[in-house]
Amino acid sequence: MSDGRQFEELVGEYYEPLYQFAYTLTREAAGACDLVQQTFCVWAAKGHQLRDGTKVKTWLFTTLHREFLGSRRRQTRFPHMDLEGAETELPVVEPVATSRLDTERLLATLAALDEVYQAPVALFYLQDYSYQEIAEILGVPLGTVKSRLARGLDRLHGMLEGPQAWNLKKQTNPEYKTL
Amino acid sequence: MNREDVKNVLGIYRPGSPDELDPEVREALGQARQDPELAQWLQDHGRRQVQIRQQLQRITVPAGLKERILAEHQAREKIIPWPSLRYWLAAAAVVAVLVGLPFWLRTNLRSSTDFAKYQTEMAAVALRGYAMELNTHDAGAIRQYLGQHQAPDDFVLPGGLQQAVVAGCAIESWQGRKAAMVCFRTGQPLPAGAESDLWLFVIDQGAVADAPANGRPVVAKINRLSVATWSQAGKLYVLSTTANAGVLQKFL
Repeated sequence: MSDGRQFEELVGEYYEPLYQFAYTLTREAAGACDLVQQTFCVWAAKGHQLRDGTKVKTWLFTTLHREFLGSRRRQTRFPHMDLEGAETELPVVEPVATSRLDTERLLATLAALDEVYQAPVALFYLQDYSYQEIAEILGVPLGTVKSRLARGLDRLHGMLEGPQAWNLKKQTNPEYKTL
Repeated sequence: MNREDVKNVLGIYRPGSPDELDPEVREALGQARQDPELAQWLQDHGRRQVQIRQQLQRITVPAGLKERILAEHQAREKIIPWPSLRYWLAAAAVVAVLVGLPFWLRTNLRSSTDFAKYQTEMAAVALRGYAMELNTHDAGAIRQYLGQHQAPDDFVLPGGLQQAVVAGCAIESWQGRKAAMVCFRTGQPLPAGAESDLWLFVIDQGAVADAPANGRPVVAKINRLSVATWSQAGKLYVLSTTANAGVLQKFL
C-alpha cells in the first residue's frame, strides 16, 4: 500500500474524533480544524518514527493536545483567571435536566472548568480511553488523571445542575471556593 | 469503603468501558450493587454519563475537512515528492559513496603499494637493460645533463658511492615524475656487453606516496638485485646492484 493511501486511510479513521476533541478545547470550528490539520501535518513529517503501530491513535491525540497547548502559550488573549472572579463572564447555564442538555451548553460549561480539567474530561467522554491512556496522552501520572477526572466531572455535573446547586456545593466544600 | 468512597471512585466510571478493569472501580461496583441506595445512585450517575457522552459526540465535523487535510498533504508531497527530504539526502549520500568508493580504493590501494612498486619497477629497469642517455665518467656533466632535463640533480651521494666509478646516466619516468638513473661500476668484472653494474635511482620523495622517512639505508633483495633504499633531504634513493649485499654495503 502506498504512503499516500495509508495517509488517506489514517485521516479517514481519525479526523472526526480528533476534531471533536479539538473542538472541546477550542470551542470554535476554525481553531479546531487548524489543530486537526496541524496534527496530520506533524504525522506526515514524524509519524514514521512511531515504532508501535497500535499507538497511532494515542500518538495523534497526544500531538493534537500538545499543539493546542503550544498555540495557547503563543496567545496572550486567554489570560488565566480564577472562576470566582469571572463569574459574570461565564456562560449562562440554565438549570436544565441533563436529558435536555444541548451540546453547545455542555461545551460552554466544559469551557468554564479550569483548564487542567478540560482535556481529561473531554477525552473521558469522547473516547473509550482507559485512565492510563488518558494519562499517556496528557503526559501526566495516572493518579493525577484520576484526581483531575474526579474533580473535573464533579464540578461539571455540579455546574450543569444549576447555579443554586453549584453554589450550595461550593459552600459545603471549601475546595471549590478556589475554583 | 463507605458510601462516599464508593461514589468518589465511581464518579469517574463509564458504564461499558475499560474502567471496569480498574481494581478499585471493580470493588466499588461490587459494593454499589449490594447497597440499594448506592445502586440507585449508580444508575442515575451512569445515565448522566451516557447523556453527556452522547451530547459531546454530536459535535459535527465541518464539511470538507478531510478533503482539506488530504489536499494539503498532497501539496506538500509535490514539493518534496518521495517520501521526504531526509530520504533524498540519504540517497544522495549513498550515491556519493558508490561513486567515490572506487576512486578512493584506487587511490589508497595505489598509495599503499607505491613504494614497493617503485622499487620493483626501477629494479626491472636495471635488469631488463637500458640505454644510457649520457656516457661519461664526469659526475659534474651528469648532474648538468639531469638538471637540463628537469630530473633530480641535487642528490647527495653516500661516502662509498662517491668513490665509485660513474659510467653515465639516464632519465626514467615514474607516474609522470622524472627519476634520475646514475650508472656506476662496482669494480667487479662486468658481464659481457654491460657498461655498469651499480645503479642509483633518485626521485623526489613526494613522488612516492609511502616513501620511507629519512633514515639509514634498508637493504633488501628484489629479484636478482641487492637493493638499498633510503630518504634524505626530500629525495628518495634506491641503489641496486647485481652483486651481493656485502658489496652493496661498501657503497653506502
